[in-house]
Amino acid sequence: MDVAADVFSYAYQYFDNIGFLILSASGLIIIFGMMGVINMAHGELMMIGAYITAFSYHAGVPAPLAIIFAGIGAGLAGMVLERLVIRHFYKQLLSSLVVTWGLSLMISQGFLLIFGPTILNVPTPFGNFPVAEQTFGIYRLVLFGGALAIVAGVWAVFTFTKFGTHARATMEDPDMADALGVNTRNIYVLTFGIGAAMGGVAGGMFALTATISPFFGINYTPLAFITVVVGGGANVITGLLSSVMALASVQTAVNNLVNVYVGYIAMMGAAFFILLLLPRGISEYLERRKIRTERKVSRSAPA
Amino acid sequence: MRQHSVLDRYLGPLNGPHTMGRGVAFWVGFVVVVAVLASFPEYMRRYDIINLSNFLISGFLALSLSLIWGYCGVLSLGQAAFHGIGGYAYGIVALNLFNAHGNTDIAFFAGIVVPVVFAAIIGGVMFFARLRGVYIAILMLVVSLLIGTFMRQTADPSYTIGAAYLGGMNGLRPASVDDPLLPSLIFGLGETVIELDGRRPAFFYFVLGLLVAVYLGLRCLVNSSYGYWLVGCREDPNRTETFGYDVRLIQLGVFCIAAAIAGLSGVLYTAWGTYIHPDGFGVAPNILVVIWVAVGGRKDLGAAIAGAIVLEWVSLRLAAEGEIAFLVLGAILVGVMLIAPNGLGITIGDYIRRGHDRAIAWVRAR
Amino acid sequence: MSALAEKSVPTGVIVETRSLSKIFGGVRAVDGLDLSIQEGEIHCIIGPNGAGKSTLFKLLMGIERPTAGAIVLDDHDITHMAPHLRARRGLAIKFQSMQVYQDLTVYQNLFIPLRRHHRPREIPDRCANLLTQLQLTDTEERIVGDLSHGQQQWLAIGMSMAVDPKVLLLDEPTAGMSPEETRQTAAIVRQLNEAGVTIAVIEHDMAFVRDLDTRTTVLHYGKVFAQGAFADVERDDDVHRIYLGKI
Repeated sequence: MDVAADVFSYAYQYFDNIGFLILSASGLIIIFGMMGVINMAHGELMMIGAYITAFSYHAGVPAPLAIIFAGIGAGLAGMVLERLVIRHFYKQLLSSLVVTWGLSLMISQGFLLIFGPTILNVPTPFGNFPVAEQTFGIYRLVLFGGALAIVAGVWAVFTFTKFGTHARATMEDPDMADALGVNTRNIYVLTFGIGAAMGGVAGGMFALTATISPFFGINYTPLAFITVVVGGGANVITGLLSSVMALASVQTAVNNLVNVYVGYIAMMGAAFFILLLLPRGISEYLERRKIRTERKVSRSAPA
Repeated sequence: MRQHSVLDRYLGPLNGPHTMGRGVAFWVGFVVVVAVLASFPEYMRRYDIINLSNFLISGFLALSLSLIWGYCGVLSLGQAAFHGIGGYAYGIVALNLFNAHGNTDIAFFAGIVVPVVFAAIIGGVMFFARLRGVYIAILMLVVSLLIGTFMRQTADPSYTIGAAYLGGMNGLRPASVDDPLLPSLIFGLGETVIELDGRRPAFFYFVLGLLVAVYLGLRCLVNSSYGYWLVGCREDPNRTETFGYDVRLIQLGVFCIAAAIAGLSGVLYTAWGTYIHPDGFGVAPNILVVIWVAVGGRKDLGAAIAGAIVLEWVSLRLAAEGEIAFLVLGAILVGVMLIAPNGLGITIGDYIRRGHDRAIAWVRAR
Repeated sequence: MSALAEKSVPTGVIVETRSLSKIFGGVRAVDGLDLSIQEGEIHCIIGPNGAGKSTLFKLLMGIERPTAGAIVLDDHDITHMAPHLRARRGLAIKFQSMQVYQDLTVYQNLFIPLRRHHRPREIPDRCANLLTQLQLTDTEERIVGDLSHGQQQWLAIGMSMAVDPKVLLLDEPTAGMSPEETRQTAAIVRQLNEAGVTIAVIEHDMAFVRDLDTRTTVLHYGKVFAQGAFADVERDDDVHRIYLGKI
């Protein structure tokens, strides 16, 4: 019975970590993975979402609606940032890194000035369930489900909608898309806005489990970035999922064997080694293998 | 390539295409600025001199980021890590050896060598794995944050290295009452002992002299052949490689030099305030270095130093107004990146040069 | 003239690929290629788009790693050597894309490669010589991005020459040039060859290749399709067929 409980505990933590990483990275896969812009202010967009959720909730708005508000608010904020600042830095990776870091500083310090360093809390819903001697939070499982739903949603939007087709065409070759009559300017704003909104939703969902302060975002940006980079841009969705599964397994294992701090370091170390072996991320490797097997299959088939 | 012959003879190695200012006017201006700075202790309040010493120490850190980012195109968002490592290395060695030696000579060098060794290891892996520039930038930030997180949880008394107790959030301190306090710089040469207390003008003169020396040394470096290689790596590493240069070694070399300079700033900082604590590894100090260099002008050593000193002064002024310093600095960074992407110092320098050239042309035409 | 004739007599193989292959995601860009470049010759490589010409040069320089096969330079196996080490063995390249430092001056552009084999004090003279050869006299202080397209191409060739290579690989040196500039480029290439440099050129411009009139290899699907004097290759019906009348 103890073994079963331990196994469950491991699995629970694993899925919890997966959900956490997916949510942190989900907005950034759009912004970095598709647009190639590095947004160091992504954590601050999440922080905006967390604040909106907390304030709405305390104003009597039900939590799910508050999280939707968070998405809308962060999305709008993202679109403003894109128009005012970020659009000037497409194709200049290092400069976009620096300028968005400046934005992140402005947002977090602005919030500090307005709301002070006070920590906000929103009660975690759904309560706990016991397995053997231990108790587990139900909301963590909801987070995991939400993370998967977001990934599925992104995939659906970019695969099935007209906007998705235009967006992918724009990211592939902006000049060509422009020539074909796609309004690339709007595509960039909207894509960035969607990425920001996803960050806001993630921030809103985390708001129900984490403490919220103006420095909420700082913890998420490097983590989100590393998750996306390890995934790679060849196929954003498989990249994200494979990267998250790899990193979460390292983190879960080391967390239990040593402690949370070493678990975090181990995860960073794992990300580092994956990048050394596969500089373009896991998804690039998977795509290459896929093509290779397809070739083999087509060649072995009778002509 | 016409040059003033006298200047050319004495200042030849200092001048070149990779630094702003090479004529008589520039060097006269340079001497005047240094002289004015050197005269400050004569009439400024002691409190201001102490602050100014700290600003000059920031100048070293700005030089180190300008060198790798502005000249070699390798951005590190965690440059303050080397500053912190240098500071801790100085402090730990000084606490252990001070009673025996009565000076901090070895500690001073340890504060430079340890960051270089660290840079050689981590840089070796990153550059030889041909990691992309953006990854290096973020990875260095993560490294800095991780060191900070580690240092913050060293409050447990078991974290002692000889006479040095890491002390967690409270910073480095002696392990027991018998151990010496963290000393300022004390150089011993045979019988002579030179004590440089961070609160005294002597320390200020020392830092100023060292900053001028490091600045001039780096000017020689970036205007030498090595400087051309750095710029080649920045502009197009792949092309530079096809000429037979090992880009990875060039990058690693400059990364280590930058780490040495950042380590030096850490040593001076620790000696200046006789304390060092984990906040130096956090986001704030790292972003500050980037702001100084980006706003001043990453592609010129002098502009980077000017950026550091001016913005440190601005921060100090703003600190008096409440907690708006970082907000304003962030706004300055974003504004400058939009208006003058090469930095204010370089943009202003370009204007001056163009005005100067036009004035000369006008005089010639007469 | 006799000295020239002597130089153009092949004295041996300087670059050789043995069953060289490169597969990109299932596509055989270079497919078991056996090619040899003779010391002292100008060797033109032509072929339809996607024939693997640029990939071949990238493999030779070490920018891409081959899937199989070997590359030999001057009797040394360089298959697994890093690009900068190949460069030190005497290989230089000008890629298809513009290969100059756009934001630097012409002098700075040439300083970097010249510094490989020359002391700093020799560089101004060397630089002036190169610029005369390339018909870029008195451009030292100009920013390269402000030069014309053709001038940038010449500078890129000059930068590759500045490291005193034994073998120079030129990928489309005349791309985007006017007929007059193309003619001058041919003159530059011939002049370099007379100075003793082995040159391999990828070109689409048949007027240029005809002008050089040397040994020519036609690549098709990553293999040698035809080889010989350009005049013979040009008359070959099969070559016409793969080019769909492009010659």
